[in-house]
Amino acid sequence: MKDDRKRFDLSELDKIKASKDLKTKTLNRCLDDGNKFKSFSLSKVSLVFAVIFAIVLSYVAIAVNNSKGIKVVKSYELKAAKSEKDLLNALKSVGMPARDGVFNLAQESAKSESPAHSTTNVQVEGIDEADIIKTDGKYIYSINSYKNELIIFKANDRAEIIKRLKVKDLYANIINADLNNLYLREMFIYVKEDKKYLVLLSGLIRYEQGKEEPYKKSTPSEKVDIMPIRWGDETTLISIYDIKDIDKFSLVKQFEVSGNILSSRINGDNFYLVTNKWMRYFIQDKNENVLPYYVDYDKTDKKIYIDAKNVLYNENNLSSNFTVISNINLNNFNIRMQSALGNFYQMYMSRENLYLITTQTEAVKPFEKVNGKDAVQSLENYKQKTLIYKFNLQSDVNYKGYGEVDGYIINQFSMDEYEGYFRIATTEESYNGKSFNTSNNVFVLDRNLKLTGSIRNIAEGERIYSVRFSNDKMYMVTFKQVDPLFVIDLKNPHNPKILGYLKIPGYSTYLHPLGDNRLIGIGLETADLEGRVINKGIKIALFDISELDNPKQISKLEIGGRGTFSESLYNHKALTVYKPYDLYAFDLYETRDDDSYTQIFRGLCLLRIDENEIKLLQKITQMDLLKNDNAVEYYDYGYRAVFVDKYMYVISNIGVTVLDLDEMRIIKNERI
Amino acid sequence: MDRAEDSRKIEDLVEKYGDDVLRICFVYTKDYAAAQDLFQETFIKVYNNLKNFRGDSSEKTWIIRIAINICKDYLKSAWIKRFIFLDEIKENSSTDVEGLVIDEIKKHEVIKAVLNLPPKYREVILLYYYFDFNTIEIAKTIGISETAVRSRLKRARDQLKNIFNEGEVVDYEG
Repeated sequence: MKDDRKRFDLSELDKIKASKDLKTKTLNRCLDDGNKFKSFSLSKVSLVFAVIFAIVLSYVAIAVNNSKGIKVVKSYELKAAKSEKDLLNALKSVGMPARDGVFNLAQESAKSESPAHSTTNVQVEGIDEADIIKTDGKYIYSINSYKNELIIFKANDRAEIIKRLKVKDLYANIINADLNNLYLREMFIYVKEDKKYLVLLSGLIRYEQGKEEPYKKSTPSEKVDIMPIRWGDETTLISIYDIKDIDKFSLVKQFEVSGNILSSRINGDNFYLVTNKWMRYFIQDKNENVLPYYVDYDKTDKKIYIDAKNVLYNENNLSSNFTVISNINLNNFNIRMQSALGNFYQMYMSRENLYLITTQTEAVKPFEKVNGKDAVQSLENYKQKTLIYKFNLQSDVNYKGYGEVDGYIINQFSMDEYEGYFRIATTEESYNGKSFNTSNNVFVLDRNLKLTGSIRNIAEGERIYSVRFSNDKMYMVTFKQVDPLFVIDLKNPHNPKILGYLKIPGYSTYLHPLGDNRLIGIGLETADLEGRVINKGIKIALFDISELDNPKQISKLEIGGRGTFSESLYNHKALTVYKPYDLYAFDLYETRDDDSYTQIFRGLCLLRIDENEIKLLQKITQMDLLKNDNAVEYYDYGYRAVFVDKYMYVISNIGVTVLDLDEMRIIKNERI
Repeated sequence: MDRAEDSRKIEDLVEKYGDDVLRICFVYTKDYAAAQDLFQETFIKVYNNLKNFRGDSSEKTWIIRIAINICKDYLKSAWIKRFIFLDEIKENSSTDVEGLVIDEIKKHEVIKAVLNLPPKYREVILLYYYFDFNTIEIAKTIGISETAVRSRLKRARDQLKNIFNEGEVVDYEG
């Protein structure tokens, strides 16, 4: 981004200062209102805000009820709704039973005879994760999120575009929705024996007439530029295309399921999609069915609602959100749907099990009473828990049980399953009345999610930035001022041990194992600015972990200055690894190393990392394709790389670049 | 006493982040009286949610997010202003000194340009240039995708082109 923070100076705003009067008045109002949990806002406008806070309020109300009296031990076990009535009085259900399906055990995908090529960088080997770019060695499939198109390139030295599929081409069969509200999201390639499918996931918002923002009409015609908020039903389209013969690219199956994508996997022959469907009950029609549904476009375009008995819930952990697990068998296209009421926000899948994660704030001390009323509670009395829900994938998605640990997790890499044991790393925050403190934990749970061993209070005052499990070891980076990399032994599930640690400046937000003895860390360099830690450019580090009790940093590379960014810092799929050449590629937005935030490079960074060192090979940009076209600069993003044979293909929203890896020479660079 | 702890905590937060919250409210509403009201609403909400603060963001980001949401709610229902704040305007109206300061700020060229932007551009500019947030932090704070942040920043900058040009920003596309 071209800018210069220093030159664009808003420091004039510094002159605005809250007066003592204002502060005193505010504090008085806080303490007056404090006894009432419900006073989220101006009492005078509570009518208006009631709509906005409906969800929050119901949530808080539940929390308050639960905490009344002294209840320290609580169960969050899920149970299936006994009946529709049982599910929730508010849910008016007329659900139809979900179809039964026959599911096979996970199988290895058949190897294809295509040339060597890179695959999406996934967490668990053998379990594919959806991405915006995929290759099968012959063709490259790329979702152009700016143009909302699926572009298919031939994986040769010319990278010819052989298909450019717009939404209206891909979804010609959808007639009852406005395709302008359809967004291509992610995809998979599934290969088995003589079958080859492209599984494309798209988000669709079905706006309904008359369901505009409730108070939109009241907004006066002032010069306030607000987009009117429209409420729509958000669904995900799962479209399976036959790509065995690319010239006969054709739709073979299509489903639509409720909710927004949380995450998806292909595990053996099964496709799993986890979506979140919010209830919009403040504008819900009284007669509308709020249960999740699916549509099987082959059969009918009717909504088939989930049976209430397939909805799990727990009254201690209710939320106005359905998390929906859809499972499609790619052999016979049977779909199964399972749902849980609750706000699940992370997932992890091993070959056998799916884990869904939610958090819960729990009172750990009894409520105090003041004049017979509940007193305002201090933060000290609460702790945050991570709840883990396990679903077995053997023959169907079956709820197995739940477990709980203290603290919260950062992402899917915080979790792992190994030989039946589930391992999880959390950061725990506590407030002692004066200051917040953090500490970090590693827990090992058995098949029934009962705790077998743990290490607690690791690196007090720091937080976890990245975690990577590797069989019976794990690596963890925590950070406050310097970055300790911990090596932890989990061989004995009853007695996990810290083997060693290394303290270096900066921190890694993603850890990638390289063989058994090396670990690559991608993160940020930091510096000390008058006692404050500030982020600098991107830092790639190579750690030697051959001596577990003595990890060492053996090579590092720093790129750019403050504000330098790469999607791979937070999205492992933005990193592409190509083993045959020891290559690592990721998108890069680089700023000048002078704290000016001036962007000097936008594109893709290619590294060679071997056992001994990190080497910067190339920085490939398509910025020059935009000459004389300043207007499009803002969609110059989404740089991703795939490798096929001896070529690297760099594809962004604006162009395609082909690099010959043997000669390290760009042989094509073109607008798309 | 828990209550005492909470009140100490909120005092601390008002002291620490009060100025920033007021600045946000002012940039969103362009109205100092309204900003002072929203300032109070922000901290009341912060106070009532102290126990819900999950620590998955920094204290500052959390409070800024609350302030932004309060401001957006206010803008969405701008008619509230006439209904609700009318009786409070008098007691809230700024002192003479404050009034002068605000008048002066409003005349400042850069501020004027920013205040004239549509709210969705104003907010990214404020967070990026004033609060020094990176695009990911902005995305998290206002709840849109990071790519959307980038494109809004770009469009906002386009609208502010005159100012940028006077600042002679290095244009690497030359």
